Amino acid sequence: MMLRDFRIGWRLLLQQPAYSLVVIGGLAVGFAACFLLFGYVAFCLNFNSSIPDNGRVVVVKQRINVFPRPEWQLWALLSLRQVARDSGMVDESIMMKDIDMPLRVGTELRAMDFRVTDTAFRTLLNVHELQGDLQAALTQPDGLALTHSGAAKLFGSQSALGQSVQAGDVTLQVRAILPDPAANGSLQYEALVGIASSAWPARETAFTGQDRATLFMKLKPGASAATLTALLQDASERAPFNQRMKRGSLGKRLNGRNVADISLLPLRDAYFDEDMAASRTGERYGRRSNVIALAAGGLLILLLAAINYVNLATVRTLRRQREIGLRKLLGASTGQLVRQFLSEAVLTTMLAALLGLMLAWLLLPTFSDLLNRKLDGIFTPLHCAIALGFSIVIGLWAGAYPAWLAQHARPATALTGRDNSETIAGLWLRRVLTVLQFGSAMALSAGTMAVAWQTWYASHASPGIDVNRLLVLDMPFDAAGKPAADAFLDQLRRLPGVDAVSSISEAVGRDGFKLTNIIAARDGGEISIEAKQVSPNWFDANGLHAVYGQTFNPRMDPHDDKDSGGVMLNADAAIALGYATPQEAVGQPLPTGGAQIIGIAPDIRYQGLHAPAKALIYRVRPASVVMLRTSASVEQAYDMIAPLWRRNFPNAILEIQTQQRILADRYAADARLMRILAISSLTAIALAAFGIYVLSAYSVQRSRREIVLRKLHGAAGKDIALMLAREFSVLVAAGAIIGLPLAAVATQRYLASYTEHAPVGVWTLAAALLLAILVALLATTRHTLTAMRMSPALALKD
Amino acid sequence: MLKLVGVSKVHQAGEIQTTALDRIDLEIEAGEYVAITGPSGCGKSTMLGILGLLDVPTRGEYWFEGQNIAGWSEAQLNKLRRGRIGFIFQSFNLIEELTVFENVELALEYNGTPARERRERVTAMLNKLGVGHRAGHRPSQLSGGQQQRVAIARALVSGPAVLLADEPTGNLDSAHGDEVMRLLRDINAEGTTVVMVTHSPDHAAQASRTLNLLDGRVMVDALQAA
Repeated sequence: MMLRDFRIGWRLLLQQPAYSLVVIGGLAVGFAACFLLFGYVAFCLNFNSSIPDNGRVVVVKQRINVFPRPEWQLWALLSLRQVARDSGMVDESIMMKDIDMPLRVGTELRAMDFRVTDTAFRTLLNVHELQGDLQAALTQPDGLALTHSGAAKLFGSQSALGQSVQAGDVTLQVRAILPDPAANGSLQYEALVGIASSAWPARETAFTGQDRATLFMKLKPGASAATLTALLQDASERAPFNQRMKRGSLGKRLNGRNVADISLLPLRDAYFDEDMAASRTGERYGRRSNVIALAAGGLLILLLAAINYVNLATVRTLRRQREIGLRKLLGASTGQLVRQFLSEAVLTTMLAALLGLMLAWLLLPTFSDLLNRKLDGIFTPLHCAIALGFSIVIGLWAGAYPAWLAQHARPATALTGRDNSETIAGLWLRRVLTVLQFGSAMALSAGTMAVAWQTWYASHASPGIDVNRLLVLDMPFDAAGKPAADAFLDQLRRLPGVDAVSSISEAVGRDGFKLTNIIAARDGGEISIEAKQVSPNWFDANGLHAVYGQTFNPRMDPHDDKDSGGVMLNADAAIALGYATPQEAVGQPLPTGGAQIIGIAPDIRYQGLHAPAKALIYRVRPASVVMLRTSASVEQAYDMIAPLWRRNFPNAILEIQTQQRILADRYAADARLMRILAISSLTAIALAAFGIYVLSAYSVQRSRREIVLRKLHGAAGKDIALMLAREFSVLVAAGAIIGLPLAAVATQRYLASYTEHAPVGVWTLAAALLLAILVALLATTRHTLTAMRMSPALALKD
Repeated sequence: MLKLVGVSKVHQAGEIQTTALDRIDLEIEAGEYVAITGPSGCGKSTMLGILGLLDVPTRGEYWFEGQNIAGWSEAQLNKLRRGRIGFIFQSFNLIEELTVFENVELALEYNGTPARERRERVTAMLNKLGVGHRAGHRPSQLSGGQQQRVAIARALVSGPAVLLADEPTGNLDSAHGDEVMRLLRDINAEGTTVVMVTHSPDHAAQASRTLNLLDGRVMVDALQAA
């Protein structure tokens, strides 16, 4: 390609600003979508790539089989760290554990990602301090290392090194500033202390007891991960705690399985680990199929935009027949002609790519928010260069057909101004492309509507309790039952405008803290049942009545840990314990401990609509999640409660949420999926609308003679409109045949993850079809009107 | 049957006015065979457009079968034209995407002719013009003469009272041109009024009446012996 070809292409773009704007704008949207989605794919594929030898660095995975819902977690017995070291198979083995404590600078408390780790952390992860001494930070009892952004969070622009930070009652000194960990990494932290730190309350007992932490190990070159796994598995099973479990009643239910399964997960493969994606923390992981689907979505949007470019460029090439004929007459070779058209296309796509990169940069914060990932790192010079290189490929591809048309133009015909339109095959190709556009747009819009409808349905489905005027706040985890918590709850009850205060071990709709009780069934066997610890007034405060029997007496002692006031079951638990009906269980003693079953609790959707109700036992115990029924807003409640909070929990941060917000958060991933689909379908619809607009322009131009002759023979305007409508409705119908079954299958698969779903039926498909028809109607109206207004006298001028 | 009274047609292009027809008075009786001749730009095609209800005069009156169409809307003209006027063009104006049969059927599609009757009439007309065996072909698969026969079949299939022909032999060789002229004579002999624009004095001489136009005015209006 020569500079002259680009210059001509540039002039052509300037001559037709509307055409240029539409073509470059459409392609830029495609490039932006593609860049962002491919950036996300790179984020996933390069997960943990900042860790040296990430194929040899493994994290220990554990699944405790005695739990009612065994699931994998990156959490194992701390003692396994030493087992690995003693095996001689690892270079390093470190632990990392959260310290659930905010940090204070002056009077300001900040929630931080605060962790304790070994000194070998630096060698294992190859971390180098930006300032200070990391070794000292991790070995001194008062040492603290902050990441760059952690330091900014605590100290703003002030220098953090050497400053004091309060962690509970302990004063720490900032001894090192570290770079921020890569956003696409398994290890995230803002503040670190060593295992000898006085800020780690469990420093004395953790390694002798049964504490657990996240364990990272670096295998020696050639060391067998399978051998080490077997070694750790054996050590885990032989650990005193697990031995007790195995010998106890739960051991019978294991049927030969391990108390806890142990596995090693290479950090290189961590992001796409299916076990972790299926766990409670699954949101932090990705499924390969989803990432591939998103990448395909990005390519599809770019393809749809490129199709529009091909369509528009084809129409323009057909209009330039006289120019092409003249060029040929003057001796332009096939190669020169093709080169000129390809140069024009490449110039257009490169300009679109530049605009697309700018668009992507503007949209990055929104996009990161949609995917719930920090994607700031995707704008690298290499990625931008790849995007521009890719635009050249797209330009060559999209310019090929117009170039082929130009090369096949017959100069004699073109110069006499007679018909020299593209072939029937070419027309069919462009029709097929338009059908693909409409198929995609319909599939995406039907999918969006189904997800939106189901998300709305699920987030508004009654959880089984009255969520109106219900606020939720978490007391510090270890505070429940202590004097400060009792005093705080008592003071809350006395606040004006507060109707009821109750507590529970975990908020309705949140899947965090879980308690499992082992209970003897009537047949002598033992089953594990999830337990909810509640205050005695919890049922009354939330307007709940027993299905059978009665609820707890609100005047009971909330510290009664002997179940002297009885326990409550839900219907599933009563059946699981061996009662023929839930009603039969009421008044009976629990085989273990003998506590009386005083009533059957109504079913409450603790897990939302993603999981069915399961067996539950309710016991009266101190609990840390406070449920507050008040007409005050969150802000008003904060103003009222903050003074009480500071008095009772000076080292904790007060956070108040509405119960409705917690329920909605349960569907945050669905809401994000809906937003991604909505943006994709709006883009696809816009591109399809534009595609059919261009096609209608071309069809009317191409059918001019037919239209005029039909009018000459008496066709009225509506007959012409019908003629064109028939052509376009066939395209929309073909798009529906391709897109709607895909949408139906995808919708069905999506809804299968819910226990209950909205009455979606075929409504979303019908709505997507209607939308497509409406879009096609609007997009073709202009040229249909032009056709209807064509004068039959034009027949005499042909 | 067709009557022009003081008809003028002025084309406006920006500030420039061009008079295509200038105060034309003309009456054409049913069954006449009229040839319009004259140099390029004299207003022949404009007159044909007005006679065919494709265009309206700027001034003057046009009476079509006793109705003054001055001020009529395009929809009204369209309705009046439907099935009553047939057209033949120099460039045939056949639609390449339609078969020969479908091209001819087009003329019956908008006047409410039932499908079965349409089939019968189209088949009969194609056979009459000797192109019945080409019914399933595309226009480009036919010779020029055959294409013009198809165009004539389309013009006649609705049984129009008037047939307007714009240079019907302009794109044909002399043998095919003569053949078309013979067909037009036969059509006129069967009672159809024929108005033909032509450059050819020989072909004009075959009409019963000749109009010679110059600068939008009728210079000669001569009856000829049949």
